[in-house]
This record gives sequence, structure tokens and C-alpha cells, in this order.
Amino acid sequence: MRSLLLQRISDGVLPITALFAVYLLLYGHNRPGGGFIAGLVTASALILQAITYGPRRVRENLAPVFRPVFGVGLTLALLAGLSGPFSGDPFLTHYHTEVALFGAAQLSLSTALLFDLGVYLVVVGATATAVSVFSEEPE
Amino acid sequence: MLIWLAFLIGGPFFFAAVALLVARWGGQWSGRVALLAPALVTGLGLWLWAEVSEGARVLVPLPWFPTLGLSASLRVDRWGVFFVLLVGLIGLGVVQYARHYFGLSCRGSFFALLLSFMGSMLGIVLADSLLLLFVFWELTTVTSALLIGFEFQEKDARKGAVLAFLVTSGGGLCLLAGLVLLALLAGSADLSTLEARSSALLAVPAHTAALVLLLLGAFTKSAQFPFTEWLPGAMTAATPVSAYLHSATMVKAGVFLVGRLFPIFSQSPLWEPLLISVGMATFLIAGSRAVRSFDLKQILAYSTAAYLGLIFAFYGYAARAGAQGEILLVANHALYKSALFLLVGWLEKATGTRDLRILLEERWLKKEPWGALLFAIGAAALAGAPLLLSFFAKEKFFQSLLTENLFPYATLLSGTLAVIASALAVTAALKLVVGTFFGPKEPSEKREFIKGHIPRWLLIVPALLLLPQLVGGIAPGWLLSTFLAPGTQWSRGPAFWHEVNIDLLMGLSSYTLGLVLYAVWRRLAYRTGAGSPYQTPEKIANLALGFSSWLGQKVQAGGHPRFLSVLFLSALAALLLGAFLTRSPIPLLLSTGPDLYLAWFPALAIAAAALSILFVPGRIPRLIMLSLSGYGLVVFYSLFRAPDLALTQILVETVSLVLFLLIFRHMPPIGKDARSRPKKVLHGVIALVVGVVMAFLAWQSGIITAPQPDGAEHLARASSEARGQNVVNVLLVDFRAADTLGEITVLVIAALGVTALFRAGRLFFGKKGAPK
Repeated sequence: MRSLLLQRISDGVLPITALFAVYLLLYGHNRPGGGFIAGLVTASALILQAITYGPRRVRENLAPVFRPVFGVGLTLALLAGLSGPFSGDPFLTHYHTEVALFGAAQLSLSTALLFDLGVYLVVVGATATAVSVFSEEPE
Repeated sequence: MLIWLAFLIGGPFFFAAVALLVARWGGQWSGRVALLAPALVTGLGLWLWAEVSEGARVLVPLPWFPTLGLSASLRVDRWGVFFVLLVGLIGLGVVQYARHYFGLSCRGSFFALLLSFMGSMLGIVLADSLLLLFVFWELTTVTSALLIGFEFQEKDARKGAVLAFLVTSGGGLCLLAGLVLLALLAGSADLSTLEARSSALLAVPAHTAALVLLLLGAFTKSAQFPFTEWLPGAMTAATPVSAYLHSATMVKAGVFLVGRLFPIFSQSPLWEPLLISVGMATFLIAGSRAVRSFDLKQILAYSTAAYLGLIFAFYGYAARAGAQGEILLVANHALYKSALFLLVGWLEKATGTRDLRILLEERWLKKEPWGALLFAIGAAALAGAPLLLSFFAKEKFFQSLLTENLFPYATLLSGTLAVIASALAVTAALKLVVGTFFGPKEPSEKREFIKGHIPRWLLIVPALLLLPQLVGGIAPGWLLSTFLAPGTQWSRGPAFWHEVNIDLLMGLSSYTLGLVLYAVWRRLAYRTGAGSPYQTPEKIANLALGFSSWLGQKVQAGGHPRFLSVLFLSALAALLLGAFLTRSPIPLLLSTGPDLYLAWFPALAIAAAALSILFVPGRIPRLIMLSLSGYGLVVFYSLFRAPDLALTQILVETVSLVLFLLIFRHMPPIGKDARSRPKKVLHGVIALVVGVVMAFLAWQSGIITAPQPDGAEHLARASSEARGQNVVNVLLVDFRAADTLGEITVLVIAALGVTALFRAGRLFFGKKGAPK
């Protein structure tokens, strides 16, 4: 069953959700949000697509892109953690730095963000995998 | 230094990934890439050897979780770098051999596994932290089992892989228990610290338990009695794997560990008797099994176990005199035994068989003179013949057991046993050469089925591996002064010039006895047969498999009411046991905490939704009620001003609701509840008890305020140290990042498991849910 109305809404919502997820991820350190929540927001957008267009869309178009992502995420989180031992600090020590942008603006960077990005990717990858596997047609 | 060690250990893993990636252009490319890893290892190993060959030791501290007292420190010393060279040099030969052995049927996954094994082995030999050593130890167990069962379509390969895995991973668990105990006793799991605290440690009687557990790990890995049988079972692996893992490197990990433990435990009262008895028993029993076998690879496998027994016994004797020459023993065996394995692989290609019952009848000497010559050199090394490096190694062992001993006549006893065991090795060597090449009649033309297509490298690689035997035997100067005692000059002549002493007597009598035994075996060979191997490892494996299938049946048969009951009750029991053992008081506070009258509304809604699950029919209505009670929590979190939790709760409820709906489409329609009334009541009671206990715990944790709440400290540190305003997120990614890392790992495993189980279930159960 397809609903044109739902499809239009879902398509409109998808980019907004994606942007919102990025916002949650980047601001998570200071406002409500973070990798886990951002990952779930992205996952629910994927699920909305699955509901409106049928699971085939997720399985054929989105899952191949999102599925390998959890391996990348876990590697990223591990690497972020390993930056500690290579600098003589314990595992999972985070480092922060401030980068001046255009004179006045300050951009604060941190390995914690890298770690959070890893968490985000794992959550998205795992959910996309589950959705695409479970949405196979029952035989 | 750390960066080079990271290259050294990580390099093979990196090249393993590359070998998998390039496999799409054909397996040959994987083989070419695979050559780079051992080349890198050898290069770095030679550089490190120059630094530590005189006995220097470099510690590379690597903090891991200092709050838990765990480090991942590395160390570079003579014993470790020697193994690095062993792994690199023999690995180079074996990869080159394997490329030509498999030819066009090279597979990327094979080389990827071989290189991962190489990396794990390097991790073992460069670890200073026993914990790190254990992690890599288990990695070698896994990669070895996967390589043994590489041809998993064949039943024997699967059986061999399961047996090897269960025996060696069982030993690995003993090793883990031993190192935990050791860390508790000595306050550290770092080898360098343990060495310094050795005498204090040995004063505690409980150290013997730790020692026995650690040695069990070493004995299983090195296929010592009574765990020998997994090694012959592992011979289903391809010949390059047998040569590399099951003779040159992995089975030596046990010896390596004993070498590492030697400075810590050698003065323990248990060290000498345990190592000598197990080592000598294996030397004799595995040696006699080698004499009775007919499969050439089995003969080599048993003689490998026997020689490892010799090294263990050597370490036992060394407790009094000090270990010197252990590198010679290990290098000698690794070189000639891997060469022999590779030669058997060549022989199988040349003659089409490795069964001695067929080869005994045929005369391959004229057709394959070069192969026969190499076989003869390898076998002579196995027998410890003069003019070879092996001769010095054997003498070294004889000398070690002739030192002062445990009790009177012990020297006589161990000397006699050593002579008998060496004679068994001589017999096995004679079988390899005389039995294989000197049969009565010429092989028929039909038997040489692939003659002419055998790549030369199948003989060149073993020849190169045997070269040090000849060099060391004839001109031992440089080679032995490097291997035996660093910095000293070795001034003896070739390995036959000898003063008349007890060593010579023992050597001569072992040769004679070996000849006699060979003659006897030729007479009796067909009558005795190969004999049945003793079954201990197989029994252990069957016991473990039987127990797990029994447990699975007991816990899971009966649907998920039973499964959940077992799960919940075990968790409850663990909780209570923990509270009992730590004697933590179970507080009984019935006061209420900070009250919010508004909270009664979501609370009542949650309870009502949860209760209604019992009364609504069908899956989907129940699921919706469950979700409703979950969304009720969101209101709770909002009332208590926890936006992160509320946001997470909404999203988790939504995603899991949809996932459940997707799964329901695959499930058969819900039937009538078939449980009997008493069973329903029982399940109800269990659910109620578990629910009440959990509610109680949640209640308590909510109203007990610690004198110094964790939260306050985290709030204070979040902004200044972690540069974050949102404490919840700072907790997740910084203060408790290890927990988060564990959680996302679980998530990845779950995603992989869902995919595998779902697909496998479809393959296995077919469409209708009935087993095919």
C-alpha cells in the first residue's frame, strides 16, 4: 500500500532529520544530544522511509550504504581511544584543542567528538542492518 | 620504540586485510601481498636483534586502564626477538612455499588467516603484560582452528578443528585463571614486575595453584601429555599450515611461556617435578606413537610433541643449573621440523600419497634423488646425527639432565629415559628416509601423476631451512656463539669431534637402540598396525560439547517462558550471592524521596498499560500496550528534567516498536496457550518476584543518597577537564568511555548475529519453519 501524502512528507522529513542528527551529534557535548541519540534519529528516518516506500527501498538502496558503517564506527571509536596510549596516557584519554576560525570564532575540537562519531555510526549501522534483515519478505 | 612495535604487530594484520581486498583480482595477488608481511617482520626483527642480542631488555610501558591496574606493556628482549625472527623467517619461507603449493587455487582468505596468525604470534612474544599475552594467545587459538578447518566441507577437517579449538582454548581459560590469581597474589600482571617480586611471591603457598594453571595453558598449547592428540588431529590442515603453526611457531608458544615464567617460578618446589615429569612423559609416549604411525604427517606431528616435551624437561632440569642454550633447542627444532613438513607436502605432490604403507613398497630414490637427499638431511637432524646443528642441541639436553638432581639415581633414571626417547626419534627418522625412498620395487608409471608440474620452490624452501643445520654442524663458530651464549666465542670444531665421555656414550647407545627398534618395527609393522591413539583430548572435547548441548536443551527447550525464567532466576541468584559474599547490607528504607505529585499520573499510566498486556488478545495490541508503558517513562524523565534520557527513551521505543512489527510478520500466528495451569502460576510467580526485586532495587537506589554523590564530582569536572557542558554526554564519551565502547561492541556483535542467525535460520529451516 502506498500513500502519496506519506511519501511527500517522508521525503521532506528525511533531509531535516539528517540535519537534526548532525546538530545533535555536534552539540551533544554541551546540549542534550550525542552520538547515540543522533544515531537513533537517523535510524528512525530510515524506518520512516521503509514504512512509506516498502522495505525493498531500505534493503536495496539504503542498507548497502549504511550496513558497512558499523565496522567503520567501531574502528573510529577504537582509534580515538588508542590516541591515548600512543601519547603515553591511558586508553580512552581524550584531547582537546581550540582552533581559531576567521579571527574571532573559536572552534573547539576534541577526540571525544571522534569517539562520539564512532558511536553514531555504530548505532546507525546496527539499526539499518536490523531493519533491512527483518524487512525481508516472509516466505 | 612503541611506534615500531605497533608496526611490527599491526603490520601482518594490515597486510591480512589487504590480502583480502586484492583477492578480487585473483588469489595470486593475495599471495604476493602476503609476502610483504613476513619480510617486514624479518627486517624489523633483525634490527631489534642487533639491539638485544647481548641480553639487553627494553620495556615499553603502555598504560591501558590504570584505575583497574591493567597495562598493555610491551617488552623487547632476546627471547622475544628470537621468536620474532623465527616467525618472520620461517613465515617468509612458508608463504613463498604456499604460493607455489596452491598455485592457481590460492585463496585470499587463507593468506589473510595465516597473516593474522602471524600478527597474533608477534603479540604473544612482545607482550610484557600477561593480559595482553593472553589476548594474543587466544587469537592464535582461533586462527589456528580456522586454518585447521579451512576445508570445512570435509568432516575430518571440522573434527580436527573442533578438537584443537576445545583443547587449546580450554588451556587458554586455565591460563586466564592463572594470571588473574597471579595478579591477585603479586599485585601485578606485568612480567617485569613479577620477576622483581618473585621471591615474595614464592613465599605464598597459593602461588602453586597459579603456576599449575599457567602451565596447563602451556601444556595444552604445546600438545603435551595427556593433551597430545589434538596435534595429530590438526594434520588435516594444509601442509604449509602444519609446517608453520603446528611445528615451527604456535605449538612453541607453550615453550615460550615457560621461558617467560622461568625467571619467576623456577625456584618453586613444583617447577622441577612438574616440568620434568610431563616433558619426559611426552618425550617417550609421543615418540613411541610416532614410531607406530604410518601417515608421514602424523609421524612428524607426534615427533614435534615429543621434541617439545624435551624442551619442557630441559626447563625443568634448568631450575638448578640455570637455563642456557634454550634458543638453540627451539631454533634447531623449528628449522628442521618445518622443513620436514614442507618436504612431506612436496612428497605428496610427487608421489600422490603420504601413507607409509604404500611408500614402503616403492623405490623413489632414483626418480627423486634431490628430494631424497633433503629428506635424509632433515631426518638426520631429527635423529640428532653428527655434522649437524641438531647434534649440539641434543648434547645440550643431555648435559642439562646430567646436573645435580632431585633424588639419588634420578640422573640414571632420566638418562635412561632420555636415551630411549632419543632412540625413538632415531627410529622415526629411519622410517622417514629408508621407509619412504628405499622400497623394493620401482613405482609404476601411473603413480607419478603430476610429475613435471611440481614447482621448484617446494624443494628450495626446505633446502634453505635446512641450510643452518649444515652450517652449524660443520662450522659452528658464529652460529652457536649467537644462539648459545651471547658474547662468548664458540671455539669447538665440527659436530663429530668428541672426547670420550658420558654424552658420547648416551648418543651412541641411542643410535644403536634406534636401529634395533627400526628393524623390529619393519618386522612387526603390519601386525601391530598404527594402534589406537589415546582418547583424553577427544573425551574432553566430547564432554564439553555434550555439556553445552545438555545445557541448551535444559534451558531453551520449552519456549521462551522457560528460557526467560532461567535467565531471570540466574540473574537474581547472582545478585543475592553477590550481596551475600560481599556482606553488603540490604537496606530497608521505606521512606519516599523527593516527591513530585505530578509523577503519579505517568506512574499510574505505566502500571495500567503494563497490566493490560495480560488481558488484551493478539501480539500487536500487546506490543502497543508495552510501548505505551515505555512512553510513560518519557513523561517521568521530562518531569525530573532529564532531556537526554527522555529523548533517548522516545527514540528507542519508536525504533524497537517498528522492529518488533517487522519481526512479527515472520512469526506464525499466535496459538492457544498450551501451558498447564500450575505452570502458568509458576511463571507468574517468577515474573512477580523478579519484578518486585527490581522495583525494590530501583527504589533503594533512588532514595539512598550517598554522602559524596558521584554526580557532584562529575558535574564539577565535566566543564573543566572534559570541556563539556552536558554531563550525560561527557559521562558517555569521556568518564565512562570504556563502558560505551563495550556497549557499541555489543551492538555490532548483535547486528552481525541477527544477520547470521536470520539467514542461517532460513537456510536451515526452509520456508515453513520445519527443519529440512
